[in-house]
Amino acid sequence: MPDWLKRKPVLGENAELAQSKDAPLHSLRYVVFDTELTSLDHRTNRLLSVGAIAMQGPSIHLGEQFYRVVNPQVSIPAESIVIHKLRSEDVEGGELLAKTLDDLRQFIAGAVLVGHFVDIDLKILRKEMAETGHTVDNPAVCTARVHHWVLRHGLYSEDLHVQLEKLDLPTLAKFYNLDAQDAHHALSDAFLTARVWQKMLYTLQAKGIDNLRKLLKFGGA
Amino acid sequence: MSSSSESVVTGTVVSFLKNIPPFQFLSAAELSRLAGSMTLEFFPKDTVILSAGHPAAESLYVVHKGGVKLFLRSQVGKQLVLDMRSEGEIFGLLSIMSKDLARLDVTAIEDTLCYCIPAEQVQRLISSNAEVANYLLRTSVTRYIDRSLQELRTQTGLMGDTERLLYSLSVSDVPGVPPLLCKQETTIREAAQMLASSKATCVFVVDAAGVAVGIVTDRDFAEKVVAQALSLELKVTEIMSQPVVAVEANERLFHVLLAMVSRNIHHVLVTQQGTPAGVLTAHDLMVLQGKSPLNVVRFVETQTNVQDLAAAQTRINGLLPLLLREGAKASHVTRVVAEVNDRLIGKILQFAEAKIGRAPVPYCWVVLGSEGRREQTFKTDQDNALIYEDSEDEPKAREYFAQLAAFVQDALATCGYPPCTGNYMASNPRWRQPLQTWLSYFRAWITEAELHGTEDALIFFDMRPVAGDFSLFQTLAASVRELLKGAGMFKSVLACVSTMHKPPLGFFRNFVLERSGEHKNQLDLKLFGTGPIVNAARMFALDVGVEPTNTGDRLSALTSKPDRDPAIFQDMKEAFEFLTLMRLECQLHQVRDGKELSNYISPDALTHLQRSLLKEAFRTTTRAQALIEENFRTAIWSQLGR
Repeated sequence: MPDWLKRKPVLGENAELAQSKDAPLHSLRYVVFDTELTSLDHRTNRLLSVGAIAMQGPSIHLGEQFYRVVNPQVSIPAESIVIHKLRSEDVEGGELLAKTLDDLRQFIAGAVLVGHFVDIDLKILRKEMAETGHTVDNPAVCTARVHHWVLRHGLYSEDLHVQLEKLDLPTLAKFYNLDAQDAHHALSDAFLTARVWQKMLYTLQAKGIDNLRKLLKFGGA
Repeated sequence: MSSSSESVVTGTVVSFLKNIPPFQFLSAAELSRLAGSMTLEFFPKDTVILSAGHPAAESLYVVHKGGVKLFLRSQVGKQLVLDMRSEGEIFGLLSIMSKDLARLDVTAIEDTLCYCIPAEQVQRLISSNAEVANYLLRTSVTRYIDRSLQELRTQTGLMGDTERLLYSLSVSDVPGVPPLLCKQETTIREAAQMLASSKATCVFVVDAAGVAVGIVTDRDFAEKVVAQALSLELKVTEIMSQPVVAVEANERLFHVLLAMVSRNIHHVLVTQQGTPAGVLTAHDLMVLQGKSPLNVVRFVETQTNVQDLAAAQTRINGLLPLLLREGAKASHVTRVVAEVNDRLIGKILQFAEAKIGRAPVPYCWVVLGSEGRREQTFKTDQDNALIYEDSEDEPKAREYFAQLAAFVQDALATCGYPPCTGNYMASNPRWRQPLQTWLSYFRAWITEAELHGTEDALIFFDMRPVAGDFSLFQTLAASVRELLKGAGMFKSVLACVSTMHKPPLGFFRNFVLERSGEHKNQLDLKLFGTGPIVNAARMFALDVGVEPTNTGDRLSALTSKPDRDPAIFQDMKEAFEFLTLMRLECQLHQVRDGKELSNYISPDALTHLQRSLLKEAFRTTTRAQALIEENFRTAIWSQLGR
């Protein structure tokens, strides 16, 4: 069992974190995560897989990763299978949702969540967790929103309006000079997002955004 | 599900590391496990990653993207770039090995991504995987110490001397003692007697094939024989300790320390291709600290005949690698050599006088050329002369000094200093003359420069007294300085000679790039390296009447002359120091490989750093030569127009 699983979440830990908004961004623990869903219809969709990786400030801890495939116990529409490549057969051996969510709650305890368009991921997590009477109260940062802010507070460029419209992960990866691979795999997307976030932290620092309070004004979910 | 999916993250790390030494020696499973302990760090351009004097690195850094520079900051705040590391190269090892403080500054020269392996994982790899240990300790540490630190010789006190020695010396650099060996059938009593009758502190038990299978030390006798009251007639195999910890002679000394510390042992067997060749004890490592040229000087002083004195040269040559690797400056090393040689000559003259009687008139033994400048390296022949007081009874003096010079020449030859091929020796009657004759020699060289072989006479302008009556030399030197005050023609000849050998432009691939655009395979470090600086320094020194002969001293004295820009002399001094060091290093390798000594170096044997430093030195020399041409231009023209 990985060490982080041995950690028992302390009640109110995430709430406390929300209060430490003056702590330097470089000193916080982050969990960068991504989810894959049965569909994009938020009324009916279910969680299929979740991938996450931990960071201590800008340092990506390669061993502290989380990846689970859940058996959603519903059929997966063909149009989403072509995106995430998870067929019903692939998820049959998947974990029960409750177990995945329990472990995930421990993994994210005390961390600031980071995701690309993190609202979508938070929404599904909260929906799924609500069934077992839990919620997600960690502060959360959206890398797409941060990027939007960075572009608007950067040097003016001719095609700024074009850039502001294209906020998908591969575009960001290219912007930050990173190689993308295995898109739409929850863990590799989380890893790529982490690498984007790592560089963003330095960009933000250079622009005077040095604590959570300042960051959440424009980058929060 | 979980293991295959984890490879999405760690898999990228594994596929990167598996092509990079030393990680290529690890299995996929080991790499995957290692990857799990690592972090990925990003350093924007100009980030200071490690800072000398600050807490040591907690990780070994593997550059994934980008690049870093490793540098030292001199006391005056100047950056001395030691090396650059780019994709797939590592840094921080020395820092994590030393545990307390970082040794070097490391800064990102562009946006840089690094994989970081925690120090304890690196330690674990080193202790569990011999190939990784070999690579990391030998390659990386050698790279730092052998190349960088030896090249730059900063006085910043990067490490304690002992620590530096351990990292840089190989086992064979330390004079160990031959191992005491016994067969497996040997009894405990016999082994004890062997130990008692020698100075050794352990006996190695060898099998029929000569391979050491066990070791018996004092501790074994105490703990096993005495404490357990064993019979002394039992075989030694009953009490020997196993396994024998052995290192090959070409290993770094650091391995010996590592073995001793990690296994808590005091004796390590040195092998040569597996055959026992020596033994190193913890004591030997401690004695290393006490290694000193003083011992050689003391040795010279206590000898009573020429034959015994002959060992001094071997001793001093044996000391040079130590001194060099210890981080001594090249100029210090050559001074040590000069000091020992001076003492040697003094001693030989004592022997000579004891044999042929006291000199009828006072005399002064002087040395010339590189010996006169205290700049000898390994390759040393006799360059000397003799000045004696003008005498009423000249034939008697001539007869006596002929005998004296012959004695010294033979004695020096016995001691390993071959006679000078140019016959610049006191044994040549031309260079064994009364003071008045010497004065007339110098007067001719200086005032009738165009008529005489001034170029050949240059080594006499580096004359230095070593024994006898120094006032004879001082009288001569004062007259020479007086003669040099005008001497336009002499200086023009000197300027011509001093700028004759132009240093190359630099390097192009594996060739030396000459000014003419021509490529050469080899660089003569003396003719195009140290030589032009020696000549330029002499030119400036003689022009303004600087007394010392040593090039470094001449340049130092010149920096304090008010009418000259001191920067060029300071630069020349640094360039000379570096070039001399290269020559010494080059000859050190030739000595070790049993090759003929030369001053040739192939560009492909140079590191990137050495090349750039050499180029810098060439540039300095070119500036100095331009300055000479500028200052003595009219004189040179008149010389050329002759």
